[in-house]
Amino acid sequence: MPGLGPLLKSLFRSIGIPTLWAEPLRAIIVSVAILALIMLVVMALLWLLRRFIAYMQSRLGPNRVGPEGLLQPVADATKLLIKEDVTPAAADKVMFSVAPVLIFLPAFLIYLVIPFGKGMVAKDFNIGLVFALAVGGITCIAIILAGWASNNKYSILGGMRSAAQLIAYEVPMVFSLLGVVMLAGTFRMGGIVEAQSGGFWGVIPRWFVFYQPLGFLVFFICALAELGHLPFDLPEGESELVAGYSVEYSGMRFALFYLSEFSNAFALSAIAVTLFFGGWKPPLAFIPDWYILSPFWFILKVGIMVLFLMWLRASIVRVRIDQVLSLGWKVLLPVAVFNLLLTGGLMLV
Amino acid sequence: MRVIWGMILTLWSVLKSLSITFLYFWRKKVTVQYPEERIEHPLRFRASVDVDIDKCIACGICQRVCPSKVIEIEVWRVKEGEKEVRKPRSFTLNLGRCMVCGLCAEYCPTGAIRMTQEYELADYTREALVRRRS
Repeated sequence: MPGLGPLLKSLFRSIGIPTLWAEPLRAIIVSVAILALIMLVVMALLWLLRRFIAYMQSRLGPNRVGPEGLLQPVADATKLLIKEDVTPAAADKVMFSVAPVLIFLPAFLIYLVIPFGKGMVAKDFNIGLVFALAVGGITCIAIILAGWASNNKYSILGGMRSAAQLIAYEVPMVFSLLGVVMLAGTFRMGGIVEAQSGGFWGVIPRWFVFYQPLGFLVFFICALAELGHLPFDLPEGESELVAGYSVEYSGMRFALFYLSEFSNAFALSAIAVTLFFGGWKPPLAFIPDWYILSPFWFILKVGIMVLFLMWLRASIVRVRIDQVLSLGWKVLLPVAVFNLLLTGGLMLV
Repeated sequence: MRVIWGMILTLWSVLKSLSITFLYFWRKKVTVQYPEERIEHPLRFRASVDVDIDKCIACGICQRVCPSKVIEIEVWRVKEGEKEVRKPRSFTLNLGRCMVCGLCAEYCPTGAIRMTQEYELADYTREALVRRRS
């Protein structure tokens, strides 16, 4: 089972690129590939979101640009690119321009540790999960920065809300994931997937969601809150805060916010699939896990997960800020800790 | 206990809302794709005015009753046997001003003016909206 990295290295050697250049070249190729993947994923998600939610609201959604409206995201991106880039006169210029880059950074870095297939991971850290969570925390700083630098009451309120929400949900999220780590015995993403191989009666795969239903529920709710998805989309609540922290942003900078939002939705779905639904393992235990098919299974599972997120987005209404925070601290955190205790107790027995 | 009951209720209501959107997903869509598809209008729907100049007797009632001064009639007198009758030489409708109240059609003694269902009136100039019948 060769990883893609060594494959690339041997390719360089056969072409005749000196060893000194091989490692930086590999890094550049991998990061460009990830960037291209993010762009593709975001475009696909944009189209899917708009058509899917439209269908649930008895509408048709965009269907004019290209076949079935498939080129709509391209048109949107072009529009955002040629739009004027406005910086408010009273804004903090430096922070204002740093924030969109900073918010895109974690969305990009989190793809480093996601195993897309057997051995198809940019860098399989042995603390991969911790890395993903830590990087996800940067989003919070970027959002506060954007809210503060815009010098606008809506954006600062949105930024503060998002900070409160992210801190409230980061803690139960980590606790809910610890159960999985205890079962797998490793923080390495690849290792966690490997720990889910095998199956009950040769049919149902041995996914961690069957061992950790409570943990998955807590993780899922926290992921929704982290993403600012609909029941918890207070940071950008349209009816009260106009658009929250991104009020003053336009053109390409706004596009970066948008990009990171969708890219995060995909990344968190991917993490959920990796931790709870067996990653790139086939969905039925008796199907052999071929190297070629593994990314296909992964994308399939992530796709279903993302569709479920969109389904939720079309169905649920927004809650109040105090409800969000009390749910995070008073319900999810105790439940997550209880789940951890339960897992530990059952493992001892 | 109350907290647990609340959690169960929350999950139940989420499932209920999910099922509603799921049902709507398969329903017939209400969107009318306008240039290709059009809505069938009710008969009393009015969108613009037109005049049958052969029926018009140039009485000028419509001109007087119109609140937006849309109508302008040029009159000439024509010999019809013994009598001299008023006939419209031209009948101008400035649709850019018309608010489609339908008063003219209501007052017209010969039924020359009638409301039409032509609703695609957008144009580039105000002059293009002036309809002259003669």
